[in-house]
Formats: sequence, C-alpha cells, structure tokens
Amino acid sequence: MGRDKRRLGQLKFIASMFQMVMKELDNVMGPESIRTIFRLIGERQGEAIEKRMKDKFNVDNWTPEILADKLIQDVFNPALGEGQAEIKVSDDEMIISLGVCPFQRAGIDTSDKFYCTYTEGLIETVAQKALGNVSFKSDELISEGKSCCTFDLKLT
Amino acid sequence: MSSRLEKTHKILEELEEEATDVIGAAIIKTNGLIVSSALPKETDERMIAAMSAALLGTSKRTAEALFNGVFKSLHLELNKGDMFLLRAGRVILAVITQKEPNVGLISLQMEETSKKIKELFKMEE
Repeated sequence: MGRDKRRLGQLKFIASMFQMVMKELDNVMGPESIRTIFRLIGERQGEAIEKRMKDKFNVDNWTPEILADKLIQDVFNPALGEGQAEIKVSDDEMIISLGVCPFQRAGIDTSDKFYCTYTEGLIETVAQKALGNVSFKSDELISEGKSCCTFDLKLT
Repeated sequence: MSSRLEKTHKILEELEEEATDVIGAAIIKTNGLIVSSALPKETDERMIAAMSAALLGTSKRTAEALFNGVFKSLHLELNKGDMFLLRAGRVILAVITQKEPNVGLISLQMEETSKKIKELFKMEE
C-alpha cells in the first residue's frame, strides 16, 4: 500500500512537471513548435508500430482490412479500451473513429490541440508504411468539442 | 488546368530561376509538414520543415515579447549559406541561399513569391 502511494505520488509529480514544461514551451517556442514536435513523435511511433505489427503478426503484404484489424487489436484497444475505436474499410478508403482521447483521459487540457498532431502523425505514418501512398485528413477532433476523432485515409 | 501542387512547384521554380543566390526553397505548413519542396537533394526535407515551423514559433513569441509585435521574416546567417523564412498566410516560405547572398534582392523576391502563394491559396494576412 505504501509503495502504491509512493508510486502515485511519483506519477503525479511527473504529470505536474509535464504540464509545466508544456506551458513554458508554449510561452518560449510557440504552439507551432510543440505541434511539430508531437507530430514528429507520432511519425516515429507510427514507423515503429507498423514494423512491430508486421513482425508480430507475420504480415507479408498489408491490405486495408488486415491493417484495420491489427490496429484495433494491437494499438487502439490497449491504448483506449475495448470498443472505443472503429475502422470502416471500403475499396479505397479507411475511416478511423476514436471515441476517447488518451490525453484528455489523463487529465490533460487538449483545447490547444498540441497532442492531436501526435495521433495524426502516428495514424498517417502507419498507413503510409503499410499501404503506400495515402492521403490523410482529420475530419473531426474531440479537442474541438466533437464526440469522437475521425480520420479519413484515402489510398491514392 | 494544373493542380495546386503543380502550381506551388512552379512558383518555387520561378523563384529559383529569378534569384541566382537561391539554391533551394520550400513551402511549409505551420505544423511542420511540407506542402511543396525544391530543396537540394541531400537535404533532410522532413527535418528542415519541422525546424522551420519551430523557428517560426519561437520567432513569433520573440516578436510578442519584444515589441508586442508580429513576426514577419527571419534571416539565419550560416557559415556555408543562409536561410530565410517568410510567413505567407498559413504557410511558411523557406529559402536556402549561397553564402553572402544579395539580401535585399532575396527579400523582394520572397515577398513576390509570398504574394503568389497567398493568391493561390486565397489566404488572408
């Protein structure tokens, strides 16, 4: 019990430091810098996730259906919880809907949309690595007051 | 009728043709993504675009802190060449030049290019 309490205290300290760092980064470097950095982190994560899933599930050739299935199973369910993500696949399009924002769930203010670029970079890069040329568009964002984030990926 | 992307390429090509000191240019979104690029082949475009957005962010904050002002452009003087950034509506025009370029001429040509970009994307200041 004492260990759990100490761990919780440490996590609260890290969360508080993170909030303060973000505030001062915004003050000194501006929102463009922060969004760009989160976008880059998302892209790197996207590359790593595509590679990890390919190895883990022995995928030789990705199809939109296989990618959608593995993304739900290996990325979205663990991060967001069961049933919080949905991917609709048609001939040349994937529409990804996420019902929860992991940043908001962690108690972080997302109104400045700093963290959306992370998710956008991750999804776009996974799709590009797996399926080749893909055009990506964020249709709706929870940070803009919508009930879910919706991303539209078109195979080009 | 050429696409917007083709038109942005043409705008950058014209800039490079008209300004002899220019060795590369790119149009970059403020979130660090490249819209169009004519940067030298060996350049890591993705990182340059990200750094340009970060430089814009920092420069905007500096303008606000110094004069409660608004960022217009940035000139980086480097040992092997220079870099210029100019805000063009919602995007950034980044230009790489040879060492010791004609700064006045580059500025004028960048302003003209910025007008063309804004017109293409129908952007407000």
